[in-house]
Amino acid sequence: MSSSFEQIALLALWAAVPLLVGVLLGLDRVLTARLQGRQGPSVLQSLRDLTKLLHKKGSYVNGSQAMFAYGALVLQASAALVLIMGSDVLTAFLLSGVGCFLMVMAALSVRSPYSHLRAQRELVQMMATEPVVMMIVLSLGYASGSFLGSDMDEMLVLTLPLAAASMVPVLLIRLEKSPYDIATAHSEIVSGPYVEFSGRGLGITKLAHWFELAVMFGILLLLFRLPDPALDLAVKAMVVLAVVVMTAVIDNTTARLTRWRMLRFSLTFCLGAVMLNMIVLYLVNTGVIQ
Amino acid sequence: MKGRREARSPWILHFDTGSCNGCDIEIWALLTPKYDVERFGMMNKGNPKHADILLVTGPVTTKCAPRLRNLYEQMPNPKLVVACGDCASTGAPFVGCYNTCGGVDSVIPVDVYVPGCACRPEVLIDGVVMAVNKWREITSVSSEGARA
Repeated sequence: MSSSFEQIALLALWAAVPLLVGVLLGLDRVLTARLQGRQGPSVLQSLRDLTKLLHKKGSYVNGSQAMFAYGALVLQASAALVLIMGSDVLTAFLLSGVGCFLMVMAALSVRSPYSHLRAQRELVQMMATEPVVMMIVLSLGYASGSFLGSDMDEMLVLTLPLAAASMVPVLLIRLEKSPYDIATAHSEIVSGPYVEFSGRGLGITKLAHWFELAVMFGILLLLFRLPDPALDLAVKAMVVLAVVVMTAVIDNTTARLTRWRMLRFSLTFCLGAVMLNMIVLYLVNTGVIQ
Repeated sequence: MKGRREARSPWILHFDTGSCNGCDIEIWALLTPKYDVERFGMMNKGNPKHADILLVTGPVTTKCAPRLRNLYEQMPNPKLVVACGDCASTGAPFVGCYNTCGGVDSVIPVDVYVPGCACRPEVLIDGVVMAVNKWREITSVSSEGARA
């Protein structure tokens, strides 16, 4: 495959990210419905929701709210582009992190105390996930000797299995699933930081969130690289499907926990697991463990 | 086509304006596996800014009227209102009562009236489908107007 053709294909993949994440979320809704004994919506329902929102009028409470929402979308889309093009994973992660923070700023930019409450909960969620993902990205860089996505070793999951396992709770939090749907808790406090958005503005924030999910899934999939393109695609598709099934089952079989439980679990077990994996890798590399 | 696309994802908001809760229970029944309105793309949203269709129950007590108007005004256009049950549709049996407004249409415009005391879930689904059809008409007319 020529380099320019490969780059065009990667750009097409980036452009198709909303489509792919939308189908994935639709699949998650169908799975949830079946687990609850319902027929559920179409797999394309999440895409229909987004299309509807982007066509609705809506209004912003103030200019800052709009600026932060569009900023979040630009940053998340840029992060996804950096990751898909095989560039610096650390840059992609940091861009995505700033995008998440802009969503919090958007929620804080209005006067509604409900929006502020959700923004603070979103910050707690970020406190729970960002250190873990940061450590996973650092361990990817350490194991491969480079932060470039295109230079990552093949099947890093064999050397970093605990990093892959730690991504599951992180994705549970980022996918707004029980037991850690702290900010968007349905039937308790609704909508998370999106509470004061409506119509097109809500669609923009949803799109930003979808790109953020693409970045998170992308970091997970860096652990499952294979030399054969067909096999690589098949394995990555299976991993994504397995994660979606796993999160749907966990979401439907667990009750919501408190934010402190989330923080404790994330910053002890998840972060600890990734750090342990790195320490073991270091000891193996330095010859202390044969 | 634009209208059709949008109407495939009606998000609903439910507001009780002093109902006996009979109609409210039937509305919640729509979300259960038996009726499962999510198969039509409908989702219950607890936020007026995210909702497309407002389902209102009860005869609208005078205390509830400003709250109902507030919720309606927060919903982005295009928006539709379904009056669920006899109380919400006509105010009956509370017509003339000192503390009720006598139906939803005395406070905000109503698009679809669903009869029944309490209204049955099947009729509610019909009512929401009628609202969705009306939504299609509104969006197709507005998109044609924008094109012209």
